[in-house]
Amino acid sequence: MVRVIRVYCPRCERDYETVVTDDYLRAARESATGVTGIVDIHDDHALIIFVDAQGHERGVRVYTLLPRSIGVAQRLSIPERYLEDLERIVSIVLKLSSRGLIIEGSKGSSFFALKVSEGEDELELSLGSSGDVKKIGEWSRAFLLGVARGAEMARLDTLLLSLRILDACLDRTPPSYAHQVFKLIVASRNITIRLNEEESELFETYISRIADVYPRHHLVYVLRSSGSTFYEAIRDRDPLTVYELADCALALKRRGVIELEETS
Amino acid sequence: MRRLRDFAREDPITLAIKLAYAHLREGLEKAEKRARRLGLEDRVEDAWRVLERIPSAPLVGPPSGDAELVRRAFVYLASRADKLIEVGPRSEGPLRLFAEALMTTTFYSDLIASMVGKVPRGSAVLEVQAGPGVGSQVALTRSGASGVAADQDPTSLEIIEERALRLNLDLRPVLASYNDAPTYVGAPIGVFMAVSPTAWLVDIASLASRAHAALEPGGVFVAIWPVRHREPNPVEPFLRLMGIKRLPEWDELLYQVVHLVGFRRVRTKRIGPFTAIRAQKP
Repeated sequence: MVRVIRVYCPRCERDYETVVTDDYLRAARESATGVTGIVDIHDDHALIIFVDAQGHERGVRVYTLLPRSIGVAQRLSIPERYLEDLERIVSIVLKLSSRGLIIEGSKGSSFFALKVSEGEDELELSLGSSGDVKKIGEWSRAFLLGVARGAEMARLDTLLLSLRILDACLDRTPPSYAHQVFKLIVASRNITIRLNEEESELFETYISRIADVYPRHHLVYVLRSSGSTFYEAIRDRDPLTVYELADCALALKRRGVIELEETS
Repeated sequence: MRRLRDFAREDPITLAIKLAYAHLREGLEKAEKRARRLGLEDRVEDAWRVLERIPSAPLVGPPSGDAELVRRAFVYLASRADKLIEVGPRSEGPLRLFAEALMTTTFYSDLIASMVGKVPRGSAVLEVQAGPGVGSQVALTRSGASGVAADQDPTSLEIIEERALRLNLDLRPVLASYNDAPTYVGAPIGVFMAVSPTAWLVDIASLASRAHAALEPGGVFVAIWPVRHREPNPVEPFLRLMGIKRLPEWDELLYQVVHLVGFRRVRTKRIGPFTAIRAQKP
């Protein structure tokens, strides 16, 4: 059964239509609260539409940061349209204990699945094709760790962006610091790039001499983005470019050339 | 009193370092207050004392290429004098960026390459106090060998890992002191090197002794150091600031490495204030 409900977003001050599918009804049935929240992202905020197992609307809420639920875990459902760009991942269940959240989404049948955990946080990932299980496991763990560590500043849109990056990177060799990339991306709307003048002056003197290690244009782009949020620097870029820019930003931070300043 | 023609004989790298002295004087003044608060006044006083013993460079035109990068690297170090007084045996803070800048100069990386030479098949390269890992990069890129880069600073290890991944090098970063590092290498050690400025924080004679114990027969110890050749080395005021009381004297160093430690077939090369040494274990 598919039904369409009309909801009002108090932040945008306009109505939206939301399609309620059987998947959401099942999620509501399985939820300890008896409802599931359907995620609808509107630029800098997300509208969460709560529906019960019969498909009736049980209220809406606007969130800028990831919701936090105390006591019973809150279940959030990601509509299939947000997963369409994913090439390898077909479904995800992310349990974030620090936020009291279970975030799930699916777009089809899977070839194989894996589950990783870090403390009380868990990630179940289903893929549509096979691959190097060790690499996929390491990337999944890095994603989970990064998202958990950045959860205080994470938003639903940046969480989905991180998922796209995870999807794009699964065949690469993960660095041991891959979790830092995900943490930076989930928190990117609250991270401002700040240039350290003396360090950047020296760094720019030898930047061309390390062009075989780091793409010069990415380093320069991050340096020129000083004063912007990291989200503004990566907005509308493809996932692999976002990964490269995040990796370069972290490389600059390690050298003291920039600060990645957390803002509320 | 030195005359202008004496300076004309000085190499461009030495001149470039001396051009940063004006900035170092400003840096030392800035660092004095902080040093007093931390009880580290002796470091700043020591740096002043050595600085006053080294003749300044005359006004010369702006350097170019490698010399200009060297000048800027030392100007940067001078601007961070207040942070340098707190640098410990880890390759941390301003020293990390300085090390990478200096080591990416052509003369410095060529010096590393010429000293390392060929790595015997089946042998590994070990770089200790590796800092940003440029030494390992140079050695492994040219030889195709595998290696381990050790440092005690986790951030430096992440920089080394970036390099290894992006350049597809068979290089493993490990968190270890130069003493413990050899235990992390799974193959006979053919090259034991300490070529990053971050290595200057430790005693070269102890390093040579550890290298001799860790190397396979025929293996080589490679180090690049600001050695003293009877008079103060131009790099010395910067190092005094980091608490390095004394730089190795050239004759003394050779005696220690060759006679006391037991290396043979010692080869050296000097560029400006930097002396490279290559010594083979019999």
